[in-house]
Amino acid sequence: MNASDPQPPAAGGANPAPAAHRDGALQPPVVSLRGIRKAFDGKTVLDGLDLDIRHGEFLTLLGPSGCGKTTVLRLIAGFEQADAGSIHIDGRDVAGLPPDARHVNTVFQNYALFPHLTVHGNVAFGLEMKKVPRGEIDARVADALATVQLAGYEKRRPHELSGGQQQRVALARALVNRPRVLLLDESLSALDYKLRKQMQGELKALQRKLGITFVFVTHDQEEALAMSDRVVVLDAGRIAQQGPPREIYERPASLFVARFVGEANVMDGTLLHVQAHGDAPANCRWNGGTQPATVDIGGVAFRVRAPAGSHAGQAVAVVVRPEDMRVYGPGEPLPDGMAHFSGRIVERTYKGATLDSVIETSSGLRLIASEFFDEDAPDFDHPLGEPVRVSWVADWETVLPRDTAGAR
Amino acid sequence: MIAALRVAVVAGVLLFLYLPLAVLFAFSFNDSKYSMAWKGFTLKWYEALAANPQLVDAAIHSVVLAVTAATVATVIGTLGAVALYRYRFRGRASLSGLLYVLLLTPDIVLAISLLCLFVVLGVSLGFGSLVIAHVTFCLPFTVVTVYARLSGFDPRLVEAARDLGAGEFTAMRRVLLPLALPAIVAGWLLSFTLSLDDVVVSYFVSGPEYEVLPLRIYSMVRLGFKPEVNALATLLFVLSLAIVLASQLLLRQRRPS
Repeated sequence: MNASDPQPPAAGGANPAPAAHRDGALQPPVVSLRGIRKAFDGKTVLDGLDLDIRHGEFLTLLGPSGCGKTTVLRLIAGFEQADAGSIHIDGRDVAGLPPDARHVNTVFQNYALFPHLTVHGNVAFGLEMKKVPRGEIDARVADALATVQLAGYEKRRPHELSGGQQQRVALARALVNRPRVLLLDESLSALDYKLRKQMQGELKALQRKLGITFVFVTHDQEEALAMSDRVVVLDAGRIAQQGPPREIYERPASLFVARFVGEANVMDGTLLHVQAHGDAPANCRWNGGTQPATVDIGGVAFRVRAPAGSHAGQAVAVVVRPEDMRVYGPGEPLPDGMAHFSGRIVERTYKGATLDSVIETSSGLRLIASEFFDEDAPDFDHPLGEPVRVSWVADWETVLPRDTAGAR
Repeated sequence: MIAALRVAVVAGVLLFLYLPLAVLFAFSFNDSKYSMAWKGFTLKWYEALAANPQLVDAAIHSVVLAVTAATVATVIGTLGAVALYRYRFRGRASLSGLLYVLLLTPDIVLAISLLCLFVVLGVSLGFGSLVIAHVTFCLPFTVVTVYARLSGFDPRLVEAARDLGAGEFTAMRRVLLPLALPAIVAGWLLSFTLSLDDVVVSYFVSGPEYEVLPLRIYSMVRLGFKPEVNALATLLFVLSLAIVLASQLLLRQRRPS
């Protein structure tokens, strides 16, 4: 199975530094939003948003549709004005400043290439607006097109290009202006799966090479995890959680984040016993601010790590990723003393790299387990109806208080 | 059997639509002043037309009026279409609704309303009143034509231009206008045609010193059948046809992909 992943002793602080940036940490943020409120037709879209974007980072705004992520982008670009709060770009308050006076550029969702202009005309547009001399324009356009691997396409018109090529033109058109921040609005969502994968890699490489701050908006959690230095998960106009992709995935701060980013088994339980100040086991994924505890889930007692301040009798939600679940068939021995559910397989889906099984426990829970085929078990299978025992890798669960877990 | 029926129906419809025009064409070349019978080919009615100064004057008046009205209606209509496309303002829905009302208003109602208005305001009937009246009935057509074209484009195009450093006016000039151009030209041609052959509205709001062609023709045929009117009608039809074809071609061309 897949327990080979080395677990770093995770940083416990609440404000983790982004994974990759060369010179940013001590500089003031390149974009700073404070107390941003925005409503459309009386419907609140952003509700007191605070966000700092550091120089040179690849920041992703992730959330379901309607969470306000595109509005954040449009506020930074200057297409919308906030109802309350302030936006600073490079330390300058940009309230009331029109888009053409801001040193940021946007790659639009459907690219918004000018259909009446050639590729050259599109890419040169921003430089012409700035009255850059003709010769320099040509050189910089050629350079930008080479950067996105479209050299030689200058004379084409947008409708003569494929979706991926249009995407690159849109990118070149924005990058040629050397913006302080590049805003990308769901820029990959119009591409097919394979091209999207490829562009994800290229975008990330481009961002590292140019050192420009990228703010990327997406509803695709996989895309967000794959590309970002930092992910900001938005829910109904508020930041639900922000941090490096790994932290977002492995330490969801709420049930909303756990469910939106990746799949999750959410089990309701009650804390039976909370130990005062225990030491974290060596293989624990994280140890910041937790206490060893025992939780009762459907009549089975599991040892978990509960958040600091938990108390016996508290209702909690225990979140476990499907790939962290362990399924033991009739003949397989269970590790000594491992708490487990008994159940049977009710659904199985072959996914190529994994076998996803749905297990219904005797207490009525439905759990998803995702198991990898590897050299130890190249052709395991779970027939439907097979009686199994199921548990998860010790300490790889996240325990959330039921009250903050909320209705979602 | 079915195929034959289909051909017959199509032929019948075409005949119904175009037989009157064919008769008009034929008689404009018929060498006979009174008889309905074919007396041989002639161009003398076209010559008589050219020798009739009243008719020629009226034709010039009509063309001047049509060019003026079409141009004014196109400028205002384009600005209106851009406003409807680009901005969200109070009364936007009512404005576009009212345009359609104007589009569907019977000419006679419009004519009487305009006449009342001019009389109340003391506007003297002549070239000025004609231009105002013709702009009024052309305007909805130009707005609708240009707006239809604009709404086919990604609304983010103007934002993209702004994002790249263009001011609002530059964004209009460099992006919206070039994209809307075929529709603007088509709207102008449509207005030109509408103005050129308008009878009802012109009849009410024109004065004695500025006679337009359709009214001149109308007064000529009231006094009796004139073969040179056939010739004139044929010329007008050919001109209108050319303009309609041109506007259709322009609209079909360079559609956004």
